[in-house]
Amino acid sequence: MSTTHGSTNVHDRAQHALADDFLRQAVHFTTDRLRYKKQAVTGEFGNWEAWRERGRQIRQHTIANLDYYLDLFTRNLEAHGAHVHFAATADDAIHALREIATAQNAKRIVKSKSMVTEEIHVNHHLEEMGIHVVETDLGEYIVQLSGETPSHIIIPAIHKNREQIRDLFEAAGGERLTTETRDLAAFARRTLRRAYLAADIGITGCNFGIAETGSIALFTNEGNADLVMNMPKTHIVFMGMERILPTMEDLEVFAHLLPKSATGQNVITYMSVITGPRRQHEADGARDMHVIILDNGRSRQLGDPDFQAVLHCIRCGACLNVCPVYRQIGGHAYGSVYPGPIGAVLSPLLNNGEQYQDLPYASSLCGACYEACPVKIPLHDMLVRERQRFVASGRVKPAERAAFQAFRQLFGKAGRYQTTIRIARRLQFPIAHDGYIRAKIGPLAGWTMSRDFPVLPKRTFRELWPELTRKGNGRG
Amino acid sequence: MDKATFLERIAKPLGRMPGEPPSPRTVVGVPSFWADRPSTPASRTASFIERFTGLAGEIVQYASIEELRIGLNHVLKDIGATKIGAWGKEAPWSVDVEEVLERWQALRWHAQTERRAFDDIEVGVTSCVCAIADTGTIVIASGPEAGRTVHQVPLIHIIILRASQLVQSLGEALRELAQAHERGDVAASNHFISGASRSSDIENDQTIGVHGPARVIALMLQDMT
Amino acid sequence: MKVSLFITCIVDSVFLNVGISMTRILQACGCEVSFPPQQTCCGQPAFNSGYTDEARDVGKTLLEAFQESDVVVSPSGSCVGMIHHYYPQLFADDPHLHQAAIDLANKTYEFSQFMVQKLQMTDLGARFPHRVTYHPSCHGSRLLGVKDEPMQLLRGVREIELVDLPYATDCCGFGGTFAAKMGEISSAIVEEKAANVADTLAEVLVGTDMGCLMNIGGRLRRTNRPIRVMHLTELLLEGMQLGRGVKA
Ligand code: SF4
Repeated sequence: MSTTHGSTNVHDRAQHALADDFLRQAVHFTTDRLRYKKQAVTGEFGNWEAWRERGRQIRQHTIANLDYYLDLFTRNLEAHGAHVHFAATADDAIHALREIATAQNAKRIVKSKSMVTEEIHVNHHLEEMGIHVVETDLGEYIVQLSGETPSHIIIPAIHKNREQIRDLFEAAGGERLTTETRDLAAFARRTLRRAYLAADIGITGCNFGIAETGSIALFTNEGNADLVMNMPKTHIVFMGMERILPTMEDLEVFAHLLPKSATGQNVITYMSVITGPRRQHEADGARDMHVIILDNGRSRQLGDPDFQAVLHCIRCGACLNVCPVYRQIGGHAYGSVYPGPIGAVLSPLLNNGEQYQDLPYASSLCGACYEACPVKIPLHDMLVRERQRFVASGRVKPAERAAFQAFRQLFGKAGRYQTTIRIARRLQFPIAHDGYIRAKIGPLAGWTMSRDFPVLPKRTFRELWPELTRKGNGRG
Repeated sequence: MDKATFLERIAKPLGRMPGEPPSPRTVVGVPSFWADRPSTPASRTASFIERFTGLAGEIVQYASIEELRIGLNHVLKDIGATKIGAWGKEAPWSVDVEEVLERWQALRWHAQTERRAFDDIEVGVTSCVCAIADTGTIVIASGPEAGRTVHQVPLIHIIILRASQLVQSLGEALRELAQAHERGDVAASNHFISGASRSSDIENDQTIGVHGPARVIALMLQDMT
Repeated sequence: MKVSLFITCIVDSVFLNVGISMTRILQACGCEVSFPPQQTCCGQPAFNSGYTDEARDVGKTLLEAFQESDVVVSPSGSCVGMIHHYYPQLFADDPHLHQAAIDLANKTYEFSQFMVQKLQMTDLGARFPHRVTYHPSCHGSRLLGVKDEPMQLLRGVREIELVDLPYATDCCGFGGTFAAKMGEISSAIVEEKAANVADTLAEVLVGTDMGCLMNIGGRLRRTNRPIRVMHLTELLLEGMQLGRGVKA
């Protein structure tokens, strides 16, 4: 993973996003819609908390025994004739891809939406190899044409309006189009159909790998993944190593949890369960199937009581849709392929460096993400733990550290605390007006830029307390 | 990286020995309140129809095989399609509609089919393994005479099924899939289809038929009454 | 019932009236109220910023202050949530403090939680003839799970006109140090909240956490939206006085 926005930080990127009214409106509109649909569908479904708990338990068990289930999964895959590649790093995965593409002498590749391929920048590498790659999910196609990255893990082109989409399509197809959804979609259908037919390789992600059968379960609404994996002669699956479920029965739970959480749909339009390449007497479906299983920082979370549960994530995007910060700044401001609360938690964990260290601060810790998460990942607690790590790493600003050391000193004893308040009371006089402060100075500036700040009154509650009790402890 | 090393990097931090069996499971699959719901043929039919049509699926029920054949003929006539593709004769058809398919000179899928011949079919006619009442889902397994192309490529997909093929839950269909794996005859592709292909990627405006079929029409023989 | 106040640093230093109101209500309900003066702050500003040692030292003041207390009541769902969810783990290294933390968590209540669950009182005889909207603060409602209690108390008030706040459960953008550190994002969030409050045409915004109310109130004031911001205890006490014919 590398940032798509140079070396800026989340604070600067957020400024940019906050100034973009269209973006914010589009994000509000879409996330609202997804939230309300989710609320409606889970309400109708009933027992949502029991389902969430079930989802959590299954994911917890799976990840706690991941080596076993991955072994079983890959043995079954191989028994069905698929090739399995184990990639410890992004480089390993790209290397495997390069070897397959070279062996096939591939010139053209079609892809269906996959976050893990975004994570390791598959498209970029394919282009470097001189291979023409086309995204086939409508939203991903739009994002690809505009040279951007997805800004939402479920709705990649959430930030684009129909005029912009029309312009992109006209430039790509050399034909005049209207801004009607129907026309734009028809253009995509025509154009992408040609791409499927010409492709040597189809690349998909994997929503769930089923250990007991060695199957890949893929969820789409458009039906593009089916064409991607069945039309070209080779099918490559990229999957994060955690994307496993033990049994088909477990898949039923997630076939309910995922679409309901992601888009508020009762059921996904297409769930494709692929178990190996085409059989001997079959005339369609990919002849070769390769499954590239990626670690890329994931195994580092295993055994860590604070963060192992991040691997329970099923990439539904529900946490983005309820996040007050995502709502204001959209996905690109996170500067990572994984935006929103899950991105703020996951990006620094997978990278383990300075990069993305500021993302855990882009949260008010309101806990809406946890409440929305279908597998109950305590994202808000993880964000605090990441801040703890950052503090422990010694890379925080000295002024901040000094401030909290002062807090410890002054608030660590009631006497000192009281003296502090008294001094602050006197210090605030020059900047206080009418009971409030508006001056943008020091650490207050972030607050007073948009809000009035109340001044400290003449007395504290504790100074008043003797009076309160004197005036009648009883039926006051 | 080789598999053993890769798995070791996982087992070790988890405090597990390579090859160690998994910890006992406390829960598997759906909660019992979901698995143990009562279900009758009539309730399954009603629920399937409600769900399926709720997803823009179209369904017609027939009391006899003959009526279903006539119905299929009507549907094809209404569509006015010139290029129809269908599963092969030996495919697992739920109802025999050979005479209709022959009349319409449908292109038939078989083990030696050149897929390209089907690239521009307008209508695909298939049967299915089963259909799911909870979600309005049609399940289609691939096979030598049951090419995936037949229902994935055209804009219109017609499914021939019997009411007795309805199961209540996704779980029942998935369990059957796992059992097929046990028996060694699991299909390479099991496709769970719930309504028409759709996308909301353009300003949240839902559009159908983006890549898969825009119309999904089920013709169901009511054999449960 | 003997009740100790955990007043919170923000009420102690800024919003005295909330402390006064809570004290008066508890007294009116027959509680014997005490204020252990060793308390300062729950340590949340430091804890949420990743400074655990600093948070622990400040949090210790509460363990000491409430050692002898039977029941502790606080006007903040957020600070009570801190004690409930994070104290046991924050003090896990010292067996003595760990036990004190667990004890404190077990006997500490947010005000509305205490009134409804412990005292089982939802009708305080209050009257408040105004249009009021309620903002449920995230920590109190989501993390502490106090969702319905404030509404139960509000519904017990006569002549009150309660109007639903659009996007009520959305965060106001306070988030402690987040409001200063990510000022622009926080500002965008609070503006949306303030606009939603204004859209209700309520005269009064009521809540259960002064951090959030200071945030929304600060925005309402800056943008000249004349809406009175009250803590639940303030509204209830004023209503009780009105209900008895005492001029508020
Ligand atoms: S963290 Fe939870 S809510 Fe967010 S994407 Fe993952 S599973 Fe969905």
